[in-house]
Amino acid sequence: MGGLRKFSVMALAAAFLVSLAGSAISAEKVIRWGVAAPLQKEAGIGSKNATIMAAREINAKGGILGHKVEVFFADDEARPEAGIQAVKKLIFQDKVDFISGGWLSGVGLAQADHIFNAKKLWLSVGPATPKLAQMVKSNYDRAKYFFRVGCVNSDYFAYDMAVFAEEFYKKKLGLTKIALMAESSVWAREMATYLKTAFNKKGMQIVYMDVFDPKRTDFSPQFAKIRRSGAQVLFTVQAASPGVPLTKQWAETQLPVHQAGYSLSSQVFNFWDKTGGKCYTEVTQLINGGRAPLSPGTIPFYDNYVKEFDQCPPYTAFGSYDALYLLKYVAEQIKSLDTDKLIKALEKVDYQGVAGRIRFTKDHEEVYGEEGKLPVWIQWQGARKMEVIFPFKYATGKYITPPWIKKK
Amino acid sequence: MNVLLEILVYGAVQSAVYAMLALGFCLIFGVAGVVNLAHTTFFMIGAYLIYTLTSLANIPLPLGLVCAIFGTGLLGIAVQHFAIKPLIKSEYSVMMITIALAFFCQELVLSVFGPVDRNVKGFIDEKLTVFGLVDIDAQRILTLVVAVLLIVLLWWFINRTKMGNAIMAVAQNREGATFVGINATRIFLVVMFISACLAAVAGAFIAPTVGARPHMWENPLVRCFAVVVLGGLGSLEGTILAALIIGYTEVIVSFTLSSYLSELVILGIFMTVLIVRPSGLLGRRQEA
Repeated sequence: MGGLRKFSVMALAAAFLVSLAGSAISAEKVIRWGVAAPLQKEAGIGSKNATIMAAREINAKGGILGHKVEVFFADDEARPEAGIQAVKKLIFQDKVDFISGGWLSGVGLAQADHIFNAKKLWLSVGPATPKLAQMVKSNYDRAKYFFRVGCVNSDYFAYDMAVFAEEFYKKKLGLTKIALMAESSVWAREMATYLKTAFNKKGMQIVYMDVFDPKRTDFSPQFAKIRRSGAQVLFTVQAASPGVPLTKQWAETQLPVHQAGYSLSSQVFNFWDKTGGKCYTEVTQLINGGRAPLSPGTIPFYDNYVKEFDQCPPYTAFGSYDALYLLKYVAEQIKSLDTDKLIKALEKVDYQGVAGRIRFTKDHEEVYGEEGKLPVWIQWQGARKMEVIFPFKYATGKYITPPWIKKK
Repeated sequence: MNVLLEILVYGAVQSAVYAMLALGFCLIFGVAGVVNLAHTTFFMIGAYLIYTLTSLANIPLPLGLVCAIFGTGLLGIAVQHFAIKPLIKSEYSVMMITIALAFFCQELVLSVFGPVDRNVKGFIDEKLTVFGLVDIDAQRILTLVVAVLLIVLLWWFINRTKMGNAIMAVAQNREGATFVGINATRIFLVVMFISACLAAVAGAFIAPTVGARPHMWENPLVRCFAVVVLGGLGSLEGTILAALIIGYTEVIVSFTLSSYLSELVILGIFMTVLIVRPSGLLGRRQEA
């Protein structure tokens, strides 16, 4: 009996010491949050700004589970080789606990193996290729660390593009002839392949299609063919391309087509200045966020971001902000920062982010649609005037036809 | 008929742009034996200078254009005098210093103007319909006209003026030219000035249609190199011929196949010509 008492006292003392040691570690521990992104480009600048905002707000309110968040950045230069070096820097030099950021799919695909080897939770906000989620599907134990937080995958935003084309151009404006131009990056080609069938299924006809080098600056041959094809709407898919040459030539040559699509550079305020206002009436898809009431936090976040950075947030900014808050949300739910436990919690999460509702499929994709993320479509109607035109329930302005088309 | 006219017009514009960019590169190589990898940096600087002068300093466009071109020309002289001249005996050192200079200028522009594109004012902001059938922005047609004028002017300068004759003399035999009293060092400075001015004109006229950005020198350098090597290093006529071949090939492939394949076809032509005729189309064959 005496032995048992002695053992109990010792066990209690040991437990007390362990808890003391634990709390000492806990007080010192800092959550190291790494962001690999193209820090010289809109997407990367957006990620950096929004991460700083989120970390500052979270730290001001006591951090995550009492731990301060420290952020680290690495420039992936929008190149696969630099992207690998960037994640290696974050993993081995900065010793981060979690990885976020990203932009181009080619870079994300190159980084994947390195992040999986390090077993780091990867809340990816940029790359849109479905191939990353397919890795989770085909080899869950290795790739389970990947979650796509900042946007739905390119299949979904291609689907959304087809929905928009049908609802807006076909049903509302009676336009059915489409010209499709996609840059030659991985995700854009995937989207173009998908769109070819999707537009046809929706009763629209692709009368011209081209894949172009993102460095291309002269679109005269393509536009001549579009003019002859009888196309009514030009859909572009471009992220690595600067967007400026295409838009300027569209306006300056008065190409007789409406212009819409996905163009990363046209998602931020400075596109108006970059094009000298030639983007007037151009329509672009915002795959994550936008100044629409997608959630109670959307418009306040948007306005705060504009106030602080004098620029509107690109989709990666919404994603990066949500990624850090999402980690806080699940970590505080399960009261742990253990990676495997966090993965399990994320798989079941239903969180209201600033860009809308975040839920994941079993392959760690974000859920698309009314029950998840819904892209919005904006039209350029003036300097800093990006009016939401679709989905109709979020519309903030009426559609304007390009002036040279109206004249006819 | 319509397609042929479109190919004719767009090909001419594209070729003119390449010729304007490559002629300066060819000239400085032909005369001084300098492979100036910072050549298209002058193209970028021309674009940024005209942006700074007309959009930030609000100087009228014609005056801004003259200042931008002249300023870039002076920069060319400085580069020749301070960076290239001390290393001119080693072509590898010249290549190293000029590529380093190109990156230095890129980083400088990045730190001053940031990574975002800048909108450069153009002379004409209208659409033109050429031959009643081909729609094109007027700025591109203006670029074509300016390029043709500059090529004619350059030809006249080289072939009909005393300075031009001196340049040709140095290009053909530097030592011989020195013996007859031509100051080769001064000739190099003049040629570099002309070369930088040509690149600046290209920048100032092209930037209004594509914007100015810090990396805008990279792609044209590759294209410029291809044009000059294809034409025959040092041959001005060869450079113009190669610019026409590359410009028209790009447009024809874009029309008939896909714009994405034009790069592939151009590289195919480039390699074939080099294998069959290593000295380029109109280059002087070097004896072993």
